[in-house]
Amino acid sequence: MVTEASFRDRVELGRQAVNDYRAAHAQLHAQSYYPQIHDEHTPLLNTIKAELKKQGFSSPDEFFSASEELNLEELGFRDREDFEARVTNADWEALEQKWQ
Amino acid sequence: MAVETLRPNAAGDECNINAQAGAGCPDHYQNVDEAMADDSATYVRAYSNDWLRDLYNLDDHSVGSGTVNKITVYARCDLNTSSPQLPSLKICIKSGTGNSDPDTVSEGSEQTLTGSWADYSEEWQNNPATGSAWTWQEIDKLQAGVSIRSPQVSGYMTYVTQVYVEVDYTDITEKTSSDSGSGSDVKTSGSPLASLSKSDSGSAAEGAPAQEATLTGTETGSGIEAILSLLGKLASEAGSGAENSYVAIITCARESCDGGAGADTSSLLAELEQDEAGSAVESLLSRLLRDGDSGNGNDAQVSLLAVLSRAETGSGAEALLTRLVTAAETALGIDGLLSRKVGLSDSGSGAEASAIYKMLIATDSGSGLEALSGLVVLIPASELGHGLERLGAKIMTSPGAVDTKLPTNIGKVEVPRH
Repeated sequence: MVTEASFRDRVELGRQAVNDYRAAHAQLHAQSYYPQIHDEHTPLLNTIKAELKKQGFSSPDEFFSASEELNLEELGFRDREDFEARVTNADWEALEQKWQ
Repeated sequence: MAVETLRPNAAGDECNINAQAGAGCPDHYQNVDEAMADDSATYVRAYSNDWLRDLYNLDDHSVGSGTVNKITVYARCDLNTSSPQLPSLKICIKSGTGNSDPDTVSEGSEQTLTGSWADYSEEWQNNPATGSAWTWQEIDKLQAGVSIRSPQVSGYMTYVTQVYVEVDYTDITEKTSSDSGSGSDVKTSGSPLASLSKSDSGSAAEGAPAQEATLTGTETGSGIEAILSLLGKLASEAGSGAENSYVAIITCARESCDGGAGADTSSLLAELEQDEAGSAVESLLSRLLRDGDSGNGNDAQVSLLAVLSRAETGSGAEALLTRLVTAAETALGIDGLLSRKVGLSDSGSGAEASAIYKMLIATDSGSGLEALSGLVVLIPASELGHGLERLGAKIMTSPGAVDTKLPTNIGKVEVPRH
């Protein structure tokens, strides 16, 4: 029996894919500079897109919106509209500590 | 028009933006250097109400050349709000003069962003540090970046995920022999004359200078060799330049630009032009050399021979030849020529030419040289004088008589001597 992954699980797996991309990106820049480096980001980017698609996100933008929604839920807001209506400096600081 | 894209490749002189996803300061350039934007995966962001600026060093140009028309700096940005209250982006550059380190920061206009990833740009047609058009040295020293701030008074943020520069330039192509264009195709800077070489095989205006260059550049002989070498070059000239090259040679010869030794071209032409002081055959040859030939084939020869008559004051055979030449020909062949001589008075000594010709005409029933030679046989029988009789003798004893188809017994005729 196949169990559908929860929204949180999907976002967490997506975040892991983005973290992997950022690590590979840093590794790429750990080498001495060479002119082709700008284009060598592209295969890494295609990998992250494929991973996010596996989690049901059709694009990175869709994933990052879902990730922010999860952050706001964890801070006690229903959605982005609710956050902008009630946000305080403390909320901003708390949000800054969340995964971005 | 062409464009070369330059992307961040190292930290610049400033790294002030206060947050990021990816590398921290001073390596913010790593978060904005992708050829394909990764948007929220790596970026720099600002949540300050003050402007915060990053500057990044860029790749040196590698393919661009010629004239830089302008540079355009692009920044791909986003906000975490769909209702920005303030402009939150200024695109920046830092430039200098020539190969010096950049010392002048210039910021573009303040831009209000939308609530989704989008590209923004700013153009600089001139280098703000010099007020003049960009040079490639100044492009290689250029730094580019962004100055960003929060789009609202609270904690909303501005994000930048990609920065790059497009250099718009007009390329210059070396002119080659295959270039058949005109106008703007011609090289306009650098060393345009150096690109016009002897390898230019074009025609018309392109061909003529190249051909002249060959004529003067490769001539190393002397005397006749020199002029023959120059004339030999004309053999390969197939275009309208042949006439030009000929003129160039003559002009060169007249102006003594031939550097050869011995009898160079100018000396040879001088020989042709000098006045002939000789007589008889010497005079003829002299005038043959000098007289301008405006006719075709035998016309030219007749014209030249006619000149001889004006100076001939000899006697005997010389006089006869003179009159033969000066007569106006209206008939055909030698028969016609001889018959017209009959009426002329011989002012020479020895045999009277008119009397001889009257005799000849009376018996002549042949044609061409055969008839002439047959008639001349009669001359020795009565002629004892000078001049013409010697001419007849020479004709009859000449080995060339065979060639003129004289009867073989004519060559054996005794010629009276005196």
